[in-house]
Amino acid sequence: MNKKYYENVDETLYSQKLDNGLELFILPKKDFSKTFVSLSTRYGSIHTKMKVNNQLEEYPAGIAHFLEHMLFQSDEGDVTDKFAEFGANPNAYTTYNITTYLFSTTSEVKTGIELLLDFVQVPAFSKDQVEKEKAIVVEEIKMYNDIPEVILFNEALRKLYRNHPIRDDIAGTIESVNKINIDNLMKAYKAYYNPGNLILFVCGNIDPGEIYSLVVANQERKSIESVDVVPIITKEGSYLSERHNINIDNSFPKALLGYRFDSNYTDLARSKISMIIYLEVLLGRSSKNYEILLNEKLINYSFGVIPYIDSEFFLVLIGGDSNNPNELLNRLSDIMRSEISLDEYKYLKQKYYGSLLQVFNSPEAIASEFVGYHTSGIDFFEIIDIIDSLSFEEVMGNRDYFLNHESIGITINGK
Amino acid sequence: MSNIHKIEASKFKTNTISIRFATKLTRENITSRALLPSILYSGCKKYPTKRLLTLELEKLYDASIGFSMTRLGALSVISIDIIYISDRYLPKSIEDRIIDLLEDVILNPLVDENGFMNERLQEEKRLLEETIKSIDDDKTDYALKKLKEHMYKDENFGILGTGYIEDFSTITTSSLYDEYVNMINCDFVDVIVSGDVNTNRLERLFSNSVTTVRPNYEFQDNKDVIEYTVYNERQNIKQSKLNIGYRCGITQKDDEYFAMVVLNSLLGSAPNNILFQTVREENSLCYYIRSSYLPFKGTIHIYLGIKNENYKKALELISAQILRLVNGDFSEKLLINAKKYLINNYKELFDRQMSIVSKAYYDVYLQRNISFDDMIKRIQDISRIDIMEAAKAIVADTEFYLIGAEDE
Repeated sequence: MNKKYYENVDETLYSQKLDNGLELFILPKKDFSKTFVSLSTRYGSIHTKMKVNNQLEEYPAGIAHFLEHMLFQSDEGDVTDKFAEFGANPNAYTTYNITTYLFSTTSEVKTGIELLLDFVQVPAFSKDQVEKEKAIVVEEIKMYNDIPEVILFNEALRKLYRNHPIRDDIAGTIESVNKINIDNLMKAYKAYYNPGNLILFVCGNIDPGEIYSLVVANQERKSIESVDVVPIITKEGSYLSERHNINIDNSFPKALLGYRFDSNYTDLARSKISMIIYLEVLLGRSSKNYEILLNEKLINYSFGVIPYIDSEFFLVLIGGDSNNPNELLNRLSDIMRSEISLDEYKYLKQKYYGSLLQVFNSPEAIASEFVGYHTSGIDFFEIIDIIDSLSFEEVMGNRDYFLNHESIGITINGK
Repeated sequence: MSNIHKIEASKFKTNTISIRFATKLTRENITSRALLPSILYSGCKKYPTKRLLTLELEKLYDASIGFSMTRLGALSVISIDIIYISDRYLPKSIEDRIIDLLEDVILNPLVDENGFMNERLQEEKRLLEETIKSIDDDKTDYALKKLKEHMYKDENFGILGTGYIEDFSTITTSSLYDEYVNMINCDFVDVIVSGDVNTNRLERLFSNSVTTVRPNYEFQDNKDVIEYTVYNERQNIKQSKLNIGYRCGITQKDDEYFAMVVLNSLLGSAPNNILFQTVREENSLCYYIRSSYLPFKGTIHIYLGIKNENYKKALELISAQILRLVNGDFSEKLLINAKKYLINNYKELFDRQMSIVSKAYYDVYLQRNISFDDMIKRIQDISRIDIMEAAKAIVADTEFYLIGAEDE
């Protein structure tokens, strides 16, 4: 196992890529009562079209999320029962490009890790269980589609992307879920749950050597045929500047401004970090613009800036609740083209060092940050060095993105 | 006088200091007390704007400060919490600057001869109003809010913790300032500290209060069920929301308290609990279903999202599950797992600094001198008979059903 001590955060990370391709990361936290474990696959809602061993395959929207539900099922019932025997509650979530299975526990860590690896790596659900689960997933979709904020967000993605699968809701639609069956689930499973696609992260009160041996032995018992998968993400043309309103009864009015950029980065890590910092300087809680918008009564604490920056997409969404959503869109699109001064930038490095360090208070936060960056090919521990190496000019260069692109704006005017 | 509680913790990268002001929550003081944390955040003499305060916090390695009002039983608790990087990771200690900052924001607010600044008060009223209105966007929260509104309409607990927009017109810069002076001088003050912090200064700073007796957190107005009442509302939403409130009369000071905690875990909060297993897994009626036990009120809430056509079936299934508890009709394994889940959660609580701080605060109020091991033993000792006895006390009181008109 590779072992590396990071002095600035006082943590040691152990890592090893196993023979079958599974990547293992262990971060011991000796004084903690719990251990947090996550197993992620680089498979999310956007992976609906791909070439598997050179053959084109297409899947209904929402299949990755549905598969996440199904892996908990087996002929012995729900795997949750087995975790419950030592008081743990396993969970899972699906994003645009990752599916993660997780649990935390204060006892029986090793049993838990074996259970996690086995239920994710050995699918055991039946045709009947698939049919039964549909009604549950439909209720989940309906629950999200009653939340105005979610409707607004999904609509913004659909205006920015005409072809790209990110325009589909993560859970799919009632129609697309009804096209899911045991055959396409198993095919999708074989394509994306290969060990080479998996990342296991263990953080807590554990002995790294013991965990390593356990995972190696577990993987050696499994023989999983390797497949060659090439995801196909439909390319996008340009989009037009557009304003669109959605009517929702009883909703608080809202506005969301969106931009989409080309995701051909020369260096994804630098592009991502410098954009995050640029947006923080421009519209963060300590920015002049944020203060002005509050004083103009255009925003409240729900205001947020969401950058999605990854190899397969690059977009920025800005907005929140507003008593005057149309005016907020106008003001924001001006702000995105404005200049900022150096004095607003001065203390940012100190701030990011502090906020990075605080991540290490929580095993869950460490795992999700580390794995999230890792799947984008970025080493979480090196972010502080990247921030240090960024110049003011490089960060300010991000303004060009907003000068050179149109925006889309979605509002909910409420009633 | 103030009470310092210090908890050593070296496993965190941060230190946490929490200053808590407690008094009785009333319909008269609730909106002012909901505005107080915001007005303190909005400006002090040293940092007259939120932006200047935020910039100072960023310079202090992204220290974070929280201003909030929460409830502890019948009490309203205003908390000012600060979390900051421990000296171990910094070239130079920031502890003095952190305590200076706490002193500035709590004891030296921005005021003029009429009390707080009018412009700031108007701004904080606007922000609170928008927060209150936007709660209704999430229909799960809205339905639960309506259940509480109906079920506890004549009780202290029925008072909305967010405050009331209709009270805004009566709250002036001077009336809010009076409420502030009251908080500093008459609330019962606790200072809870986790990490390596020198508490000498903190002890002196927040010891202005004349109140030396802790206010009583217990509700004096807990009720019995008179009759089961159903309230309906229709909205243009896709999923219907069923919320049921029950009374059991068992509170945190009763002998049956631990039985009720285990019962709730078994019924609707542990993994694969009885409600989840039957209503979701066996009958596919919902995506979410949960029960929660409110130990200060001696009540239980069950809530789930369903298709309107499944309303009757959901109600029947839920009643049947409560009856199973009364009859002891559940496996030994389920009972053991429900206890293990509670114990696991209890142990995990010690891995979050803010949870440790909050637990220490609750413990002094509840006068819980019970040790960690005793607590676990009390949970483990709960038997099937204890659950059956406790279940007998559960009586359905109020139902709020939000009907999704787009679901028919």
